[in-house]
Amino acid sequence: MNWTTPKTWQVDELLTAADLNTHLRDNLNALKAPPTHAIWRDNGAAYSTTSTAFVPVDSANLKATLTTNGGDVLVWFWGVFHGDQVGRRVSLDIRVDGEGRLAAAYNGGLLTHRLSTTIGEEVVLGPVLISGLSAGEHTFELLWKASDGTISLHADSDAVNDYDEVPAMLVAREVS
Amino acid sequence: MAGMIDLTFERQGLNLALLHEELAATLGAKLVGVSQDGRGVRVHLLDSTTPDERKAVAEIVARHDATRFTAAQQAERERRAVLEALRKPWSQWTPADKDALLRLLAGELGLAVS
Repeated sequence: MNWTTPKTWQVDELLTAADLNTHLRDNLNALKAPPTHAIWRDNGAAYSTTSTAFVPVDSANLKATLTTNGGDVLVWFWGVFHGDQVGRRVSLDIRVDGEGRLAAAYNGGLLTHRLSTTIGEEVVLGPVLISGLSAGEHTFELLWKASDGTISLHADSDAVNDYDEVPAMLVAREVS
Repeated sequence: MAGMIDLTFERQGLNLALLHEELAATLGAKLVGVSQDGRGVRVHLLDSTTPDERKAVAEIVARHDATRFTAAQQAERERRAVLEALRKPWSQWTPADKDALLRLLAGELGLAVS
């Protein structure tokens, strides 16, 4: 349901069903169910990288797509990571509409987390409020990099160990 | 990303750390890293790589043997084997076992043990 900029009502103006439906009902419906893309990624295996520069984790499946009404968008991510050695660092960022990354001025991205086990630990990114987007389709893609060595993101509903059997979650929602 | 290209290969059964080392030996700093998703592998390169270097990447990925280990992985396997061998009652510990444990602990502290 699209948002319509509410009209300015005039004194003595006739209230029509069409106007009420467009400016009241439809806008309330739009506020109730804002554009949202929630991804619970089951990759059937972990993702891994040795990249020391930001790269997409999965350009096809860990990329949220929204058709917005010109409002701000909240993006957040939840995942369980491990490194091949204790002390590896994973950095995360978000690429909007396939260009650059949100925290381009920061070499560590939006978040850098030191992994203190080689089994798996939860890393949460955001929520991050993204402003200045025009109305229309937008994409929000998870980027990552490793400090060194190999880091992995669990995303598997059929892993050998229960503690590996978790989804990777990426959510984007228009909030204004 | 800017200044980078990705080469994608359909390839399963990877030792990512080893593949990284194999590629780095040929590409040096032009290799940014490798990523896998369980179905294929992406090799992240600086876009200054030459066609010959990109061809070499394909050859390295094709002949990659995931059953081999990096030196670090081999060292870790040996460390775990030593540790496993020490899982026995204290009364059975020999002077060599105690020396092995001391070496492990010294290694954990970053002390030279070789």
